[in-house]
Amino acid sequence: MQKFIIRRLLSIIPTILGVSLVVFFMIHLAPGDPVTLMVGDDATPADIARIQAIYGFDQPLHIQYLRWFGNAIQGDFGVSIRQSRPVMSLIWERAGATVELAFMGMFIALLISIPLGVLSAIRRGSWIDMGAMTLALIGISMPRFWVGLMLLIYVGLNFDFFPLFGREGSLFGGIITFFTTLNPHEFITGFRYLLLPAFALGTAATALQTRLMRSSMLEVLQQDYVRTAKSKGLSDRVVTFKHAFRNALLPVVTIVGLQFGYLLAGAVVVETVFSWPGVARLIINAVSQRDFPIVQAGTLLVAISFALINLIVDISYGFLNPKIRYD
Amino acid sequence: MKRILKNKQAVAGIIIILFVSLTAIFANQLVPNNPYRQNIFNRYESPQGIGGEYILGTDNLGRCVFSRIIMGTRASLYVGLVAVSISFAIGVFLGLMAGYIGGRIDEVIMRFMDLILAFPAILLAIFIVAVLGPSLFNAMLAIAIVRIPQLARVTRSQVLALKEEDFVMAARALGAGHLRIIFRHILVNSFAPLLVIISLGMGLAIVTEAALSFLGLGTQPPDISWGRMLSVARDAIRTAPHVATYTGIAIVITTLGFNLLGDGLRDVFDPRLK
Repeated sequence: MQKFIIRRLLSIIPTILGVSLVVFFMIHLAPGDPVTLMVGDDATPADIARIQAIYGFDQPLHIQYLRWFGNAIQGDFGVSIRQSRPVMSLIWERAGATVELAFMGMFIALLISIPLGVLSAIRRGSWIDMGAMTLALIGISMPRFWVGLMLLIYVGLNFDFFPLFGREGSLFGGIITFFTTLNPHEFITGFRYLLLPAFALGTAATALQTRLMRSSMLEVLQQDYVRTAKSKGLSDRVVTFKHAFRNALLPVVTIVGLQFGYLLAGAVVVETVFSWPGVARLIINAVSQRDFPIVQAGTLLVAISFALINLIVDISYGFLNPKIRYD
Repeated sequence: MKRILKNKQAVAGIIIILFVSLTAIFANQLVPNNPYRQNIFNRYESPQGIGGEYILGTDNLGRCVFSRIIMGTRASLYVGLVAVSISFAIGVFLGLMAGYIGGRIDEVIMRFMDLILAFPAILLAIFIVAVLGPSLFNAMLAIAIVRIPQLARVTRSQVLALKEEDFVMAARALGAGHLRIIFRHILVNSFAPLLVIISLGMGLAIVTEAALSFLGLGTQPPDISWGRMLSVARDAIRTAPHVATYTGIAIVITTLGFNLLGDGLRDVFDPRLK
């Protein structure tokens, strides 16, 4: 197990290197002069000087890359072209909002999909099953940002409880405040702002996980040990939850990690709909302002988090399923 | 083919896709109003229902929403077809090379595919468009690139499995060349799983195009695209919620068609997964 963890940890290094190469060299594949590409035709000499300071375009390519990557692994992604502030601190300020959104999206998805998937599997062929599967199929077909727009129009505009745009306070911060001072105010405010965007973000994950939970549960219910448990005279409830459910949960856990990565990325569009002040919106605004240091750093960091999440899932899988041996 | 027509999901999907395709082909004949004509005095008109002048109302520039949705089918299907064709051509080619030749080439190609997969798809698409510049073509290219790895992987695994089959051995013993073996024996037999991916890929491509256009990175005005219509509609959710609602429904119906077909085909070809 230890060997596996170390090997898996090391395997992330080529991924990070590869991802950084793509993010760096892609800019050079673009047509035209990279400096003009980044700052536009209306650049002032100061802008150009700043770009030169970050990238050193006068140097050979591999030196440029090593310089950029060397700084990047120390957390220095240079200075934003439009906002004149270090890119890293701009991203860091907004990271909490995006992570919170993705977490809440996943939480909602699990809250709905696990019971619904189990129920569909137990009552296979019933109207609950058919309804859930139809909903899941529609859920997969809906663009997340449109779900967001619909929630804004038909829920947000009708219920004052839900603010329409933006973010105030933090849900996680609110939870901590609540436990330390018993003041629920920040928690409730954070929750009100978070709920609709998180729900929109989580739709596709909810749909996918419901289907997965159902098929996994169906498969487990056909296993010999479930039949044995039943023939021992154990009640349906015990068999379903103690024997089948726990084993059926495994594939869902695997996909949760992967899905969490997609939620981080999917936040790009959802944050735009709700004016949610997260990393994704920072990236999108940077794209339209041609603020490339932010685009590069943001893309790289999301890809690295994506890799890290998969790493954590792989390792936790070993703990969850003792049948898996790594050697 | 008969088995496909017996699968309810696949048939429902085919019907929806036919309906949307016919709408796109006859869009010019079907539109009740000129979808580009602006009328500042008719902004944000509410839906008037069938028989009214503006069945689904008008948008921020007084243009007929219903006509624009009909015209929008063209952009969506076009993007889907082009993006899926590009990713199919490249993905299948790479998969064939990797699987058939193997060795170093296999290693290089598959590591490169892993690299693309290391990025969340939508983020990589946004990054590509950001670098190349926002346009419909670059959006299609980006959508195609992020879909290549899956096609390459499936093709490769098919090749690896089929390469060892007796009928390939037989063909080789009869003196068939590599190209003949690849096209006549391997590719033909890989058709089923690839068809599933193409169908699901169309749905994904359409949703991704909508998302990119919504962010202003895809279709540019004056071209009509559902994603762009939604991005304009976002600024008017109070005054004209109908624009966002109906445009989105069009996207959902179209994507649903391709997802139904893809799911149905998968059940037909691989009943174990049901």
